Amino acid sequence: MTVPDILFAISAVAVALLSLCVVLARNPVRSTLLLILSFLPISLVYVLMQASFVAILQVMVYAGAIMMLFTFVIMMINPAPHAGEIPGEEPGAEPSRKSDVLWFALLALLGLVLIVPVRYAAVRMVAQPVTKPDFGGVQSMAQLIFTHPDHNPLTVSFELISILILVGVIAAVNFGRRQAHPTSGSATQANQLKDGNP
Amino acid sequence: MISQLLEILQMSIVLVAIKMVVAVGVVLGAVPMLVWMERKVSARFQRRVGPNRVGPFGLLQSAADALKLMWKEDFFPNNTDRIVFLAGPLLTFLPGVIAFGMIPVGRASGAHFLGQGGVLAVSYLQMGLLGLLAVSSLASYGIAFGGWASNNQYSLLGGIRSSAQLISYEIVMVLSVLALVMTTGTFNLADIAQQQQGNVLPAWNLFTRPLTFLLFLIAAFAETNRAPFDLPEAEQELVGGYHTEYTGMRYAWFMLGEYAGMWAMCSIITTLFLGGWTLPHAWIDWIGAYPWYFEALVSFGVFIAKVVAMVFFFMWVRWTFPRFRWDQLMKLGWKTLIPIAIVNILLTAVAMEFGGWYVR
Repeated sequence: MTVPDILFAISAVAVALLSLCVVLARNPVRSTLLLILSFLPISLVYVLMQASFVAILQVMVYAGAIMMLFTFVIMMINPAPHAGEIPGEEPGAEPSRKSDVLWFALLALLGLVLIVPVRYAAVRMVAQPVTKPDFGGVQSMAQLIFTHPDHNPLTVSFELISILILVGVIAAVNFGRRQAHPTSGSATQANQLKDGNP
Repeated sequence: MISQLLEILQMSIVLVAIKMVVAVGVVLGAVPMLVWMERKVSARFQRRVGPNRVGPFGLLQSAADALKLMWKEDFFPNNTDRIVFLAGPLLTFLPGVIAFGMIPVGRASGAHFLGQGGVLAVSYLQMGLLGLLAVSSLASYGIAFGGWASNNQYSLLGGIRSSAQLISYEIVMVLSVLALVMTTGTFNLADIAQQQQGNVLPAWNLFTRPLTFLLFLIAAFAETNRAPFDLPEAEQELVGGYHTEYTGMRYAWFMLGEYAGMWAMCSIITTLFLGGWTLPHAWIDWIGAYPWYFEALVSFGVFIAKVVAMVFFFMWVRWTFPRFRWDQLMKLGWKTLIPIAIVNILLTAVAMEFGGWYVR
């Protein structure tokens, strides 16, 4: 066990636990806070893999900018501090249902099975000596994406991925949209536009 | 004896621990002084005397305030989410301290045991500037979550304003940093500071890139929630904004966070635009004849002096200008500053193409 090994173990467990809590938390604001916190150990894992630029981007773009937007939107909707809890229950107490325990046990088992290959892969990545100078730095990343002779189409695929994500976002908005109420003015207009007879 | 001590220092973990303690100590020591300074400066701007009862010149006023706050009732609002409520003040305070740890505060070129060219910084990163931007963008979460967890409409409005403000002005800040980095060619804060040393006159980025400086400065005011951008705590509209429901030491943590954030932001501005710890060669080169700790102390003193001057400027602005209205703030950010920042990048590119001197 070397120091990076221990650090990886700590951050990996932290990522797993925090992500689990993100899903299990009943209050959206708590989920957001946990999601932000879970990005920090992820960035530590990147640092251990010598990808320092990606690590900083993880904090700056995701934890800093995108989650701030999430927070803003969730606060605009403003869930009450005890939203999501089942009425009649003790506030703050988690319900102890059998299915929840079963699911947790299943997930824990899956995690245990996955831990072995993940650990070996990660240790191999961490243990491999870095030969290039400025590996994982800004300059080598930029060269890899924009000017590397072998990877020239990488720029194109990089841009295509962002379009793919945009398409995914539009699809998610479409699926997640509430059923339009027939009497409200703007919704009927939208429905008419969709049907093609304004 | 001394050589043995230096040998112990070379063990990096001891060195890092000492550096961390010093950096946290500097921030925690600076914050009460800043609070005192703010009260004195505001008093002078309003033709008052300001605190002058506790200690000489009222210097111990902050200590008295801290004692008072410690004895206040520890109050939780009804029906609140306690964990998020507690996390709010802490999340406000930590980013300021972490950011200060990344900033090079001085240089002792003779101190070889320090490594990193003798630069005095807790963490000497090649991508220090990016790291700073990353950490400083986390600072508004405490306000946003604290405002939400207070279970109070005014606090919630303060939190929402804070997050919207950060989203808008973070873009301006990053765009202005982009224009700066195009000419410096490095993200290393120590290199950026060293480039501005100059021979006879200081070659500060403040003089050579005034537009970039102005954009960064305005974004810095907005990110630290200082007047004229202090809408999250606009006391005439929102009672106290995000910290309305906070009492005692938790309120004090919010105040600590605000001043730690201002201290960190002034350190960033000093490093990027005022030359950091450097003075021009002609002024400072005599120092090579003295031992390394003398140089370390002098450069650290120069850095602190510049930061305090910048802090004074922040206070000057706060007690001079009225607050923006909410729609004015958004218009200024999105319709004025972001276009100017983009034009600034274009102008920088043109200047780099036609004037080789502009590239550092």
